Amino acid sequence: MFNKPRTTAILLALPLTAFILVTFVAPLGSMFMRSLYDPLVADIMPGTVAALAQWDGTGLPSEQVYALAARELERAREERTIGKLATRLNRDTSGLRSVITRTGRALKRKGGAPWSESLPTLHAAWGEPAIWQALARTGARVTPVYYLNAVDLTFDGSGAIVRQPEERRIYATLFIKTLRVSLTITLLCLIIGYPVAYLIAQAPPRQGRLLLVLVLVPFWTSLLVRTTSWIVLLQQQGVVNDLLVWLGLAPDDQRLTMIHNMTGTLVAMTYVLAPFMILPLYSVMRGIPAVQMQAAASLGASWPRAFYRVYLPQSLPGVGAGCLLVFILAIGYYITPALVGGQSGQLISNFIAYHIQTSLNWGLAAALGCVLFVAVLLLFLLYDRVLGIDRMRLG
Amino acid sequence: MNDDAFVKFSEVSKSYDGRTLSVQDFSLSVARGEFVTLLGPSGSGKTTCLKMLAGFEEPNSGEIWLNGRPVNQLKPWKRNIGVVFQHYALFPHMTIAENLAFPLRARRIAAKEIARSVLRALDMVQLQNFAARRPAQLSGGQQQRVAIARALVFEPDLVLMDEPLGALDRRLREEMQYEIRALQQRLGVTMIYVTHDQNEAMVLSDRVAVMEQGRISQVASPEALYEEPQRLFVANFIGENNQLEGRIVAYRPDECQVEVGGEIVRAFPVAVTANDVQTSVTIRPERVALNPAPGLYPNCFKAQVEDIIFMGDYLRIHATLLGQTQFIVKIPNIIGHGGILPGDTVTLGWLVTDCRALDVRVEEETE
Repeated sequence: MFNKPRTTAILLALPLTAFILVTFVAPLGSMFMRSLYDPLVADIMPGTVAALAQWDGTGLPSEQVYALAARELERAREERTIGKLATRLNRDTSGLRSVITRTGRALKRKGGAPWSESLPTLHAAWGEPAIWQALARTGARVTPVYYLNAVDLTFDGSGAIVRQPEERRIYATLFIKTLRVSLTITLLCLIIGYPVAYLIAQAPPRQGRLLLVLVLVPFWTSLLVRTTSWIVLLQQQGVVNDLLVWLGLAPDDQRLTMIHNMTGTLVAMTYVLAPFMILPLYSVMRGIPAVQMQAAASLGASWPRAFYRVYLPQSLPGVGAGCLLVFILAIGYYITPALVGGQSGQLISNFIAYHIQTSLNWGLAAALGCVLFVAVLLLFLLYDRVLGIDRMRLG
Repeated sequence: MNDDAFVKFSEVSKSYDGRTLSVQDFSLSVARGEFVTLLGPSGSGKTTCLKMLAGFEEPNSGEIWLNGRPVNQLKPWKRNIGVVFQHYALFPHMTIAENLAFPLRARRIAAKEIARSVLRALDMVQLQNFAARRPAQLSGGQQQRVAIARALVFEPDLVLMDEPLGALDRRLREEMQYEIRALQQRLGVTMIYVTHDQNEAMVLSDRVAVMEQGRISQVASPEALYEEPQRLFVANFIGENNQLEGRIVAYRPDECQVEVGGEIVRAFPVAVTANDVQTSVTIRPERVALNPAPGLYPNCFKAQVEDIIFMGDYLRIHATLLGQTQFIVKIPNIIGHGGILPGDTVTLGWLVTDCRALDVRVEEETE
């Protein structure tokens, strides 16, 4: 049967569904593609890549491959795509950028068949197997290399998976650091938020509403303003340091460094995310009748016992919801660490932004993002398994 | 007021906002083993009295004594009072057995002893098979039983109940009333019960304290409250009553004459002591005789029958008498309606002792 109200409901939800598809699902899908699919080298040098597929990977390829490579490099120079090619190859093996660009410039004036002899004269690297191995590797359209890079692994010359050289191993440490910082912030938010939520829930309605508004006021202020105001407070000549010096708790020449480092990130992010802990906690606590504590008291439980045995267990769904919310927000947070984190306070999201905006290594950025996404998803499932997502209440 | 009272309120007053008094000069003594009900409309301060006794609220003035000890400063968890709340207040995250064990664990009783007591308590309220359930899996009546068992399991000297049956349907409520009464008598525990339901108060109590606007109107046994109300509020709140407004024209301590609508009604003076004051005269509908033999009743008046309602075991006649409409007469259904029809003129008569001259209502009730 034709269900009219239901059809209307679906039609009404259609614009929003379309909006979510275009602005959320599509970009997510495209980034996921980018983390695995990289056709750049295969598009610019299709013949060379195809020919290299027949090559056994040891020694040098045949004259035919050399000729194809020279022709396609020449075309790339004419079509001005050689820069992209150089960047992509350099990402695989550092130093290849200059090899490609210099070869490209020299090709027009010098060189000619047999290419297997003339190319190495343009740049000695063409006489080594390394560059051909790099071309063969990067020529694959579907590649796990970005994911390997995201966890500090790479391919060596022979195509085996090895760890990155020491100075390039940063992401695994960064992921762990991001997790640790997010957990710390979640814990700090809980320690600060629980008593505040309790206070609001216990206050008489009028005062309770006022306190709740105070918690919500920061949302009416720009995040940038709220974050940068911490610079004013925490910098070396800032309010907190001045106060400490004035109180004699810190000598004037040894003012504390509390901003543009991890301390700054922790303080500012805890501050920014605290309302996301307080609100779900409050909404759950508001649902616990006052008579519960009275009942516990009448049954002989002192206040601490009544709180621990009766109130706390009933507020746990709010604790779970608040922690999950703060943790998930913290793990992907970008603006605050970027502004007050300095060098040591940067999190994984800041590096994703760096690869999107500065190094233009979108493949790696996408892979880092996907790893983060999967990590959050796993934690979410773990939470569901341990605490049960249906017990969570947001209000 | 005897001094060996188990619970004693002595001139207790309480105000929540600092201006209006919720409870005013409240004095009440309860003997050990007694079942006392605080009865009154909502807002009459009965729950506030209970909260002060349980320790959830502190009186602004006056003193509450428990077992010969002043308890104003005593924390609620040190009072050893079992409380049954209106909406049960069971702990939703605990099983029934854990709920019952809670007061025992708080008293650091040995686990073995706890298990025994919990079983006994479950037995007492016939919920042996529900130990492992959660409160939400029980019906309202079962939850109420658990709440009662939890208030009794630690063998308190005193149990307070705050409208515990308010959320139950009528049939279940009546069943539970008898259960509570039987339990209280079997255990010999002192019980203070709060309700706005006069039937409940009648069924359960040794004594009932009728409360009106933060004060006690009258404390007496259910029979005395019904038969000998001292104030108009009590006369109207307990059972049904006819009320005639008039003025005392002749006063004697054993009988007074009241002028009502140009006629003289002879009444028993209860709350009046002088001539020429306004009074409300009350007569119970079942104490009015229909067409009595002449000379039998000192008060006899002509009345116009407006309506006759068949109630099964009795007939309810609405009549106009002395200019007062809705004068109610109840006659037992022994002879049917005796041929009386609406519009008939009848004679209604009653005794002086059944006709009580009380105070006049000072202000309109808010409800």
